[in-house]
Amino acid sequence: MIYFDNAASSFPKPRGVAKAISKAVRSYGANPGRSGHALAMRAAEKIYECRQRAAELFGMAEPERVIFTQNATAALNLVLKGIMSGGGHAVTSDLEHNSVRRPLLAMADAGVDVTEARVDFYDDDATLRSFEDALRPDTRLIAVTHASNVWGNVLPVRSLCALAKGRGIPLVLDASQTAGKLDISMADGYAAVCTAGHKGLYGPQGTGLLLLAQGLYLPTLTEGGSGAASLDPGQPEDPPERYEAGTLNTPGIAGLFEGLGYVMDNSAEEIGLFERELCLHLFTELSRMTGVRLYTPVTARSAGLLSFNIEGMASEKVAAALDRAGFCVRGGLHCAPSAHRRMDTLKSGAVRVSFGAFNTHRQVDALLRAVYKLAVGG
Amino acid sequence: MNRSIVCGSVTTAIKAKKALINQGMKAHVERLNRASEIYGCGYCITVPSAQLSQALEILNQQLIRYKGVLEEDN
Repeated sequence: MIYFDNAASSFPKPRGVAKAISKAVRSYGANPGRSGHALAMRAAEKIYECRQRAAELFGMAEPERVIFTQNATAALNLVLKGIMSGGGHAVTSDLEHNSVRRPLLAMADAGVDVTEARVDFYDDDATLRSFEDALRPDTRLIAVTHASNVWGNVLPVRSLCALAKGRGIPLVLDASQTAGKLDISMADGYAAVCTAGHKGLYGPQGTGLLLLAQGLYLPTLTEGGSGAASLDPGQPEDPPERYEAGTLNTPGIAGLFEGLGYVMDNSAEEIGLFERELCLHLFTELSRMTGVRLYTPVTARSAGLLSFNIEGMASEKVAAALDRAGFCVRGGLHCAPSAHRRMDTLKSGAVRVSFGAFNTHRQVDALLRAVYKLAVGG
Repeated sequence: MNRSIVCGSVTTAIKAKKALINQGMKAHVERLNRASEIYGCGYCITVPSAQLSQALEILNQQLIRYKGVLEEDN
C-alpha cells in the first residue's frame, strides 16, 4: 500500500519511534511522577526530556508549559472551554475542523457566540480584514486553524496574532496540519498552540500537545491524581500537572520524543518544502486531467495536502477504488463541514491526498496513473 | 549530610535538578519520605548541606518555585 493519509495520522514513522515505545514498555514501564523508585524516575525523566524537546521546537522558555494530551482535540477542548468558560464572543475561520467548531458550539448554552470569518484563498489582507470586521467589544477569543485540513491553504496567522494582541484578545492556534511542517514559535504571541503528536511530529497515536503561553491560567477540565500535594482538595496550580490529571502515556510520549527529534534533525521547514513539492507535482498533473476537479491552488504557502473530485463519482467511491488499487487516501468531509460548505462540496465530499516525509515523487506518479484510470479510463 | 528542597511536582523537581547540575552542583530527585503528612506526597531535590544556599540562589534566579526546605534529612 502507498500511504497518502498523513493529515489524518502520519505513516510510516521514523525508525526510532517504535523502538522507543517498545523500550519504554519493556524497560521502564512505571508510572512517572507517582513513585520514587528508579523506574518511576526514569519514566519521569523521559517525559521531561520530551517537554524540553517540544519547548525547543516551538520556541518556549519553559518546558513545564508543554502539556501532554491524548490528541489535538483534547488540547483544544481544554483551552477553548477554559478561555470561554464565562461566555462571550469567539471568532474562528470558515475552514475550521470540528475540533475547534464543536467545542465552541457546545458552549452556546453557556452564552458563547461564534462568528466564522471568511478566509480569502488569494488575498491575506482580505482575510485579515474579515477577522477584523468580525471582532466585537465582547470578543474574548480568536481560535483559528493554521492550515485547512481539507484544502491545505495556510492562513496568515502571524498577522492575525498581531491583530489579536493589539486588541488584547488571546489567539489559539490549531497547528494540527502544520506542526513539524512550518516554523511555529510561541514567541509570535500565541496564547496557546494545540497540535496532534501523531501527524507531522511523527509520534504515535494517543499523543497531543497543548503549548501554553506564560500567564495563561485555565480552569481544569479533568481532575484527579497528580502525584503531589495529595492533601489539597483542588488540582495543583502550576502547569503541567494542573492539566494532566491521571497517568500519562509514557510509551507514547517516549515515541513522540523520537518523532520530535526526527523533525528537528531534518528541519520542519525542509520537510514542509518537500511535501509541498510533492503536492505541486500532483496538482500540476491532476489539473491537466479531464474529469478531475481541483479547488484551491497549491502555493508556496500551502500545507502538503490537496483535495479533488472526479466528475460523476462520489468521493468515498473514488477513495474506495483507490484503496483497491493500493492507495490510502481519504474521501468524505474530513470532519470539517465548514470548509466543504465553502467550496460547495458538502454533498460530494472530496478526495484528500496528504503527504508525509516518507512519500516520493514515484509514488505520486503511481497515484496519478490510478486516478487517470478512474477519471478517463484506460 | 544532605538537605532537601521540596518541589511542587516531579516536573519542577527535575527542572530544578537540571538547573543545579548545569551550574556544576550535585543534586538528585527523591520522593518525599517523612514529609508526607505536611505536603501530602511530593518530590524534593537533595543537595549537599554546604551547597544549600547556593542551590536556593540558583533556583530563585531561574524563577524555579520550591515549597520549602526540610529541616532534617528526607
